[in-house]
Amino acid sequence: MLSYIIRRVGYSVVMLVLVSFVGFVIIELPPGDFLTQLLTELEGRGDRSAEDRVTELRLRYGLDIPLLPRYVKWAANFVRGDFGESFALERPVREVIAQRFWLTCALAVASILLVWIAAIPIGVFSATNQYSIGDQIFTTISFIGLGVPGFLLALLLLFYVVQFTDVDILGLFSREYRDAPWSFAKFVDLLKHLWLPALIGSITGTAGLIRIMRGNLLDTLGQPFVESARARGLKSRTVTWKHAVRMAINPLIVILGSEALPGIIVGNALVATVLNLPTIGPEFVRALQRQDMYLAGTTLVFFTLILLVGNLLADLALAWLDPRIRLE
Amino acid sequence: MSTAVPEPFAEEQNAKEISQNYWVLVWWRFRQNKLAMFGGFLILAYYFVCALTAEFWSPYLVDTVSDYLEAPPQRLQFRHEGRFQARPFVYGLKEEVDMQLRKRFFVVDESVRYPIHLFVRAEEYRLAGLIPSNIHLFGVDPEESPDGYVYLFGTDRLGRDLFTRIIYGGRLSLLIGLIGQFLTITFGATLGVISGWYGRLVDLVVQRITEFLSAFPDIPLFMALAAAIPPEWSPIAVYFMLTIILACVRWGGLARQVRGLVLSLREREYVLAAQSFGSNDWRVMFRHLIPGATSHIIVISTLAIPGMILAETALSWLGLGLRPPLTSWGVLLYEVSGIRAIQFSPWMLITIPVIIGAIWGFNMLGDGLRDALDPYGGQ
Amino acid sequence: MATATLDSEVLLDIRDLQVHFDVRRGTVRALEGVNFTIRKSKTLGVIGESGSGKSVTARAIMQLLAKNGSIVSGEMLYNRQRDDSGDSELIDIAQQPSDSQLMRDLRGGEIAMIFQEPMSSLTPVYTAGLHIGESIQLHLKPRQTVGDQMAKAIARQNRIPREEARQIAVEMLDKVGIPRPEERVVSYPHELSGGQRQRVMIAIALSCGPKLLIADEPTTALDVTTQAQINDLMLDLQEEFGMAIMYITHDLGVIAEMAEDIAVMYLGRIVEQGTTDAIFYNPQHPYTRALLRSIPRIGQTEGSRLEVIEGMVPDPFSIPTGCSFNNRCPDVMPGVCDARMPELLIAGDGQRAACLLHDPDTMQEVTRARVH
Repeated sequence: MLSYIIRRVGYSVVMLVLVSFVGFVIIELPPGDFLTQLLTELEGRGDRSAEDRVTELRLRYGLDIPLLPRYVKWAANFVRGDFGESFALERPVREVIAQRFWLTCALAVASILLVWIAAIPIGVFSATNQYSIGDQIFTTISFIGLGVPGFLLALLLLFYVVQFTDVDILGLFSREYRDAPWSFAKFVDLLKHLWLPALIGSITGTAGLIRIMRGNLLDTLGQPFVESARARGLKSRTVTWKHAVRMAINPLIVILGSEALPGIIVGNALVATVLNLPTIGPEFVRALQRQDMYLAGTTLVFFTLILLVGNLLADLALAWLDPRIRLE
Repeated sequence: MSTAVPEPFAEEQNAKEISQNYWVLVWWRFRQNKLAMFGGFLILAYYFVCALTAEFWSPYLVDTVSDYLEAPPQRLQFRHEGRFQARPFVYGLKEEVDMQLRKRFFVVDESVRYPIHLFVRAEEYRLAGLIPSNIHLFGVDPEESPDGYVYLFGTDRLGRDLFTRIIYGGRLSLLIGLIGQFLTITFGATLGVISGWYGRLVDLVVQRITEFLSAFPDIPLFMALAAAIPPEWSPIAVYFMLTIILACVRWGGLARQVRGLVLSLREREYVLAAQSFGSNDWRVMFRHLIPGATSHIIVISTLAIPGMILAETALSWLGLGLRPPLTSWGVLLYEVSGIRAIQFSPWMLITIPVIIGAIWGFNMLGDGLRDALDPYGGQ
Repeated sequence: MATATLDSEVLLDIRDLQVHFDVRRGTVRALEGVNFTIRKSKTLGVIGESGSGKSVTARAIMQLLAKNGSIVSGEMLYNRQRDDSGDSELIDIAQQPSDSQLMRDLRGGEIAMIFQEPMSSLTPVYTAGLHIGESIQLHLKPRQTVGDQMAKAIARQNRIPREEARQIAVEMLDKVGIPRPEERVVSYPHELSGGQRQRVMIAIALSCGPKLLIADEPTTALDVTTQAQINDLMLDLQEEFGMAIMYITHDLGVIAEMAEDIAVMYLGRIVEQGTTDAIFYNPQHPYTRALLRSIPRIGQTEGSRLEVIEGMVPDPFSIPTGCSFNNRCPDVMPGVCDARMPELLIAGDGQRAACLLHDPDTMQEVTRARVH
């Protein structure tokens, strides 16, 4: 087991290094980088010292040295927690991300909880009552939900709220708490604002998970061990939950780590952009739009890190939950 | 469970059914599934209307501008002053200025009426780029009412008809799904087959690459790659680059599935037989293995196309994908990204239901295909 | 409660059991009037080709039919013995809802079942001990010793404590011949061999002291040596625990060794039932005779061919009219067998056979017709 963990962690680290390099290269690709944009902008304004200022910036950010050494330097700093500086915000990338990190996590956790709390019971109900009216209703709803991505839904919701109500749904805090220090009241205010983006961000995931849970459980319910559990005189509820669901849920853990978690973080990034939430997603989008390379590159690596950690945790959880895998 | 008496031995009585070949059986089963048939028709209609014959269905051309900027949708009317009219018509628009908001907007002007005709002769176009024509399905007759206009879905900031633009926009959005998926299949299936067939080093390399690709969260990777496309490229180049990016990021999953299939197929008798007859590797792969995996590839692809369309929509909506003067659904949404736009020209959001319709169509079709392509599987 | 009475020797009496399945193409009549009895502490072998309804019968007794199946008519009278009072009551299983408390007490508690697929009959994520313990805690009630506070508390909860259940599990594993049971009790199914898994299944089944053990082709999936071991084990345990066994198989050799009584099934009916000796030495139904001729015998003349039964088992939607075996029967009487339904009648050495050849009325008519 220990060697398995070590191997998996080592593998993730190698992946992360490769990913970070690619991330760095991608951000380096555009010839019209941020400084070039700045130059044109300054010149447009008639700033005579524009050329000098940009050259100075270029030196300061080390943009004059070749790609590979620059990557090595960046990576070395990265490991030390120095992620470079955001050109556009003129603040260290680390600060920008740290400031938004916890809210991003809160939103992701809220979404995942919503997905699982809704999807598992519904999936179990649908499978144990296959072809019943309830099953058909849930199957239809999940089918519809699967075709409506969160950001489109968020746009429609925004339309509804703007046109027909005067609710303030943008952001995660009410106006009076936005810059206030943390307090219990602010936390309550956060919860009040959090549920809606979490709900929107979790719809596609919930719909997908219902379908997977239903399918898995239907397969499992047809297995001989379910029949033999019933033959032992167990209540059907016990058979379903203790034996069938317990088995059917294993593949879902892999899905949680490898698809649901990143899906939700990324899906939330788009939803958050619509609703202008103070999470990492919208900042990433803005950084790409402005070609703010250190911020964008770090965020991409950060997203990948979440994905790799998610995969790792899922694999470990599965190894812990399924004795057949423990053996390997 | 062995309790259940096996599903009807359909073969016994309808011996004809099984003697027919696989694809006939697939079609037979697919037709039973009403939802899937509906999805299929929907998708055909979308591609026919948007991709092939957009010019005919829309009353204007995609870049026809007018003086009516951000005009709200006009309602198709059948009654005027309480009397039913044989020919439907729209009322004209009148400009007013809101002094408080310092904004111009349009209100319905019931004193002006523009009758709507079918098959009107208006602006010239080439159908599918080939057949010159000037017939539009509907519109105002330029001879009858030279100042007339019909904006069923309203207009955008440059006074262009949204109805027309949504139909045109579908062309690029739908094609990006199709072309992108075609490229994905080409990369994915080929590499999957090669990897599964040769095994060893080739397999190892392909496997590592797909693993590497799957280590990235795909939408942020799309976004980063799309942002890296030089802004000075021509729109067409951007379009193709975007398609290639989508395919490059997405082929890994397909390759992995195809590889798995090939691994199981290569031990089958017919493949061994082909080999023993002296077929070379390529022949075995493309004549025997890929066809064996076809049904699988079709299902995966159908269900993957919506993802491609949505990826384009999301990218363009964020201003990272296609850009004007190209028109796609995402580009149309780009114009409503701000809350101000949602407040003052909400009709631009009509694009969303149109996109969702296409997504549902593909999902219904894909689900139906999955059930139909496994005719011996049953339930 | 059923009004009928049973011989005190009889544990289970199946009368005219009919089971139908609804499928898309219509109704499959899986059982069309099955009659047989199982005697206490004796083994009934049920034999027949696949699709004859053996497994459906077993699952009907357990009230474990698939969702689309239903018991249409008939009685399944179970003679329930009260351990404490020695009284007995008759329960008609056919009338009990599948998920009722009574049915759940019977299942696993009084009627236990082992299955064809030992490889997948245990939940992969639970240990052997957990499976056995689950059954014990469900069905066995703790014995109350007077004055023992602990025992009283437990009795109020009406559950055997986990530690004790584990102890019983270890004993059971030892009884079914699993080496080092203390270690094996925490083994997961995938760590056991096929034979061991079937032993665990038997341990689970017998842990609650059932009166009837239904074994649905328990050795089909095992290799020949293991088959013999499992069968021997079942015979030994029958001697020790005294339960009746309903042994379902299509292997005539096994059944001769295991069973006191035999029921032969064909297309959802019992065609012949009697003692093993009667069935083997003096079979009365043409189908039984054909079955017996199809087993290879030692000392069979070299070069002589093994006999097969002509034709195929018809599919459930095209069962022939009259006697359902008439299209494959070597002794078929045209015009008679395809018109009339035979009933189970006494024939041969006291067994009962469903064949018109043994129906005196029919035979009289046939003879009269021939004379004319």
